[in-house]
Amino acid sequence: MTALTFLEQGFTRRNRRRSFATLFLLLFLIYFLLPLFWLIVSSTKSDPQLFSTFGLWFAHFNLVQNLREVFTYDGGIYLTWLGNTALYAISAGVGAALFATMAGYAFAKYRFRGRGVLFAVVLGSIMIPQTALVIPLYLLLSKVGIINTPFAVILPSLISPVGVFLMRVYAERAVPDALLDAARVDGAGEFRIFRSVSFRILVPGFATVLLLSFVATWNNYFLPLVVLSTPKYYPLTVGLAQWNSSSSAGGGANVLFSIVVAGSLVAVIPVAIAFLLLQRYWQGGLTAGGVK
Amino acid sequence: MRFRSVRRLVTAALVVAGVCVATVPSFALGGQRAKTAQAPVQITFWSWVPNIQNQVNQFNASHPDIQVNYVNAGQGEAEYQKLTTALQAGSGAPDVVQIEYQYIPQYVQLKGLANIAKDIPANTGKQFVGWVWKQVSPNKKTVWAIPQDSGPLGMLYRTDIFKQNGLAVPKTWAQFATEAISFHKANPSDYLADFPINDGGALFGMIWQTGATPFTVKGTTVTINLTSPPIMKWANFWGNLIGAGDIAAQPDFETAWYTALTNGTYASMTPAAAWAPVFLEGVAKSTSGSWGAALTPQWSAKGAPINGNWGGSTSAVTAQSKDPKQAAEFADWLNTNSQSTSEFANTQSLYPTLKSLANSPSYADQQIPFYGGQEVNKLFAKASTEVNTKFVFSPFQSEVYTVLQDELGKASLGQETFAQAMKNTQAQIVTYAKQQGFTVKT
Amino acid sequence: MWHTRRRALQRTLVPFAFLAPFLVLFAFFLITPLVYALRMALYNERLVGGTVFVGLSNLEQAVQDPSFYTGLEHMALLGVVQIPIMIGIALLFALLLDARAVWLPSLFRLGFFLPFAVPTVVAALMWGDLYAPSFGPLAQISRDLGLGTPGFLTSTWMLGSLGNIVTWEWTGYNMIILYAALKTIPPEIVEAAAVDGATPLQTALRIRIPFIAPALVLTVVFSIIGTLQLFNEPQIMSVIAPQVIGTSYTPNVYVYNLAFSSHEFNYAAAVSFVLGGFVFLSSYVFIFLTRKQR
Repeated sequence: MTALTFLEQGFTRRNRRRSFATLFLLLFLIYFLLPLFWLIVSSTKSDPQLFSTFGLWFAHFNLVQNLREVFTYDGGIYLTWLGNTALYAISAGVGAALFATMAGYAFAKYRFRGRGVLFAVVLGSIMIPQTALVIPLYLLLSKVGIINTPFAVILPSLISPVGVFLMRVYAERAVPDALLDAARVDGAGEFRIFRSVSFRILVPGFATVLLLSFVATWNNYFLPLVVLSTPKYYPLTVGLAQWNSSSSAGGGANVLFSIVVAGSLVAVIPVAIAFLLLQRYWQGGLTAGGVK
Repeated sequence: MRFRSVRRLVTAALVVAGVCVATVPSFALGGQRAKTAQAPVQITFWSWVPNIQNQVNQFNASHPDIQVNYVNAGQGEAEYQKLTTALQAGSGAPDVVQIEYQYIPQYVQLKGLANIAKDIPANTGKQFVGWVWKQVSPNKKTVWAIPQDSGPLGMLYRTDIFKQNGLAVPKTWAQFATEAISFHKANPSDYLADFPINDGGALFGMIWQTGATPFTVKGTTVTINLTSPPIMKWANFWGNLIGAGDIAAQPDFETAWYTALTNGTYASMTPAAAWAPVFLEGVAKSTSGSWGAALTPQWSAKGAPINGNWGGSTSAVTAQSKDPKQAAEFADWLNTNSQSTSEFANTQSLYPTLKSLANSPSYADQQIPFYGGQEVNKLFAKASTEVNTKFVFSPFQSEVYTVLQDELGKASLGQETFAQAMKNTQAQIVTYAKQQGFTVKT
Repeated sequence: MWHTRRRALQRTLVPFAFLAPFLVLFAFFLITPLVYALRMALYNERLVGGTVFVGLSNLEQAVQDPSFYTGLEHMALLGVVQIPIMIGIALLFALLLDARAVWLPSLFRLGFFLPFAVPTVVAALMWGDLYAPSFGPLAQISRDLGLGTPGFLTSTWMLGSLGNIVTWEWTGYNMIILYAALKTIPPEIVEAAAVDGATPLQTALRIRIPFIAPALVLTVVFSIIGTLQLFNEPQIMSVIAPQVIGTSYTPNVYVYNLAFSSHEFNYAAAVSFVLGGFVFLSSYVFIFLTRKQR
């Protein structure tokens, strides 16, 4: 038996195993994509067809009409909602990622009094149920005078305790102390070091937290539902839910299911695109990147 | 190259954060613009009636001293949640708010509404149907809201299916039960009607129709009787039909319910209300011409017919309003102005509460093709005159609904009888009312 | 002398300068409402008779509230079954993808992660329609196969149906965290094991999984917290199946109904603190147990 045939055998066996594993994951992929396929199929149907035809296949193709309705219904307010959602998600995403990066970096790279307690408090805060804070937060925001404005959504969304946690772990591993000391010896100030040395290394983590906060704000429902009452400030989730419930208005009810379905599809697309564009970061992972 | 993009990112982030903080004050001040002599009074108005902006525009055009800003703060639950939060927080409520009859006593109890008796013309009440006005004005000195629309109960049914199965329109509930059983036997996958298990408003409309008065309120003393003979009769009646599987017990206004209503799985919408004819026309277009409307079946074949009400809204002025006079003026105009109300009735499909409008020939005599040319509005005008005037809602109606739905849900799954469900509801509500500080009689 | 003191002061202030933006917002938008909520829990405001100080009696009542425990039991059951399944699948995916054991790894990563892009509100509505017994496509397929109508929305299966939605939403997210952790394993270690003749399975069990144990613990703790606080999904399902999902199906649904249906804001605050306590306790117990094992 020569070395060559041995290698060949090994290769084909590995290939076979790989094909088997791929097939296995393919089954799961169908499961994960099935509801999205349903969403695509359903957004091509008119209201009567939505519930009278088979849900997982196309009927009469009504997508264009549905999309036109999505963007023109109620004076085209959907576009406003889309713009609001983008504004909230981008500003909260960038802000939360930046603040979490700075805080995580401080926790990772500086020793100071109260560090442990402070970090425990930050982490512990994710255990508080949001329903507990609704009324107090509303009260607070209305005292400050920003209830029912975009700030009522953006400012609370700038806090990402999970982001701080992830960035601390990331900074501990990715930023070598030696590098910081070298920079200090060169006479650089702490902020300059952060800006021009550490942050560069932290960019992959920053991008991941940015993505997570972006998605969390894009998909947030409870907070904007509570703090906003004017539809022109709504994000997509709250707006779509309002359209969805308008069918149960009794007197003057409007059945908008096909618009809600098509509107939901449109709402998912930007996030899917963000996933695609930021792939390099989140697929590379929090800890894999760094500057080499 | 890389370094630059990072710096740009940081700069961008700081700019965004900076802009956020810098613009806060200007937003915060937006709501508190100083009033000058000429500037009109600003009134915020929450409502979920489609296209009500038209009426608001008309009002603003004819009232230069008042500027109404319309906001759709959500439909039903969503709006109430915001209103409750705003009342609890002490600010953020609008001046004028859409509230259904069923929740008026509750928001009065939460000190959320202003008494506008002195801010509206003295003859306002006389223009409305008697029982409707009683719901918003318990006595002459108190007016909590101006009625907008109502929903006296009736029944909508598929004339074609009734004909095929040899069914007559039931005059009594006993007849309804017999037909429900025979219809389901002949069509095992279809039902004569659906019992809307989740819909407190519908359930209480039916309880209202039994002639029962589950609540009486005098100051802080409340009498609770959810187990009176008519109510127990009602519970057992539906319990038996549902238990035997002859009547569906699905939540209403849900996709499955729409589908069943459209494709004939449900041969009728019972209970239906006065706003339902136009609503059904919108959702079941494909069945146009094969529907009919009828009065609600009665519990007793003899005596004067009794009816109940399901749904319908009012415009109330909140206690937080800084300009209650102007707010009341708008609420009154919105629901008594002839142009505004006729638009509500004819284009926004609200069933009128003004006597003059409900009985006017141009409205009552309309022959509606969806119902085979029937004069449906006339029928509901009659249904409205039969509504029991003694019925009042409790000052904690959302709690009553929550408990009732929980209990009836269990009953519909066979975990307890419908009679037991009513007894449990009674016990829980009594406990709740006591906890809340009421003096409770049963 | 003066200079060095100023320097030292500056040194101690530096970390706080980095922390400042986060901490200011944190204190204002999280701690302040929290303190206020705690204060709320100590009072009782009734529909008749105004507000009175009641001390800890709300909390005492909450600790003994059977409705609260009904919800908690549901979530405990859901957590015990669903979390291991979800984390198990996520781990399997992460291992397969990291070991380059499949074709087209990018496609799978994106595909599995995509449900995370769907707002929970939309996800719950979507699954609600998929579950529907009359027009739902899953029921239609099942009937065509002669298997009858599956009872996704019945009281027997509701917890499973909710668990499925949660699994669908979060498996990809957990996979990404675990995958990222796997990437940090120094390649030398895995190579050395291969040279020693370890099978891929052995490498996975003995080297790669132990190496990412902290990340595994993290994902489980996040899942415990998320499960105990489940709200959006049951709330939306309650519209479709009100008979099954009552007012206290999950602790957070109960808190919500206490506040907005019963107008017992003070008691609602107390119940959410008890819930917070249970969340803390379960996370802590889990971390403690896994720490002992290592």
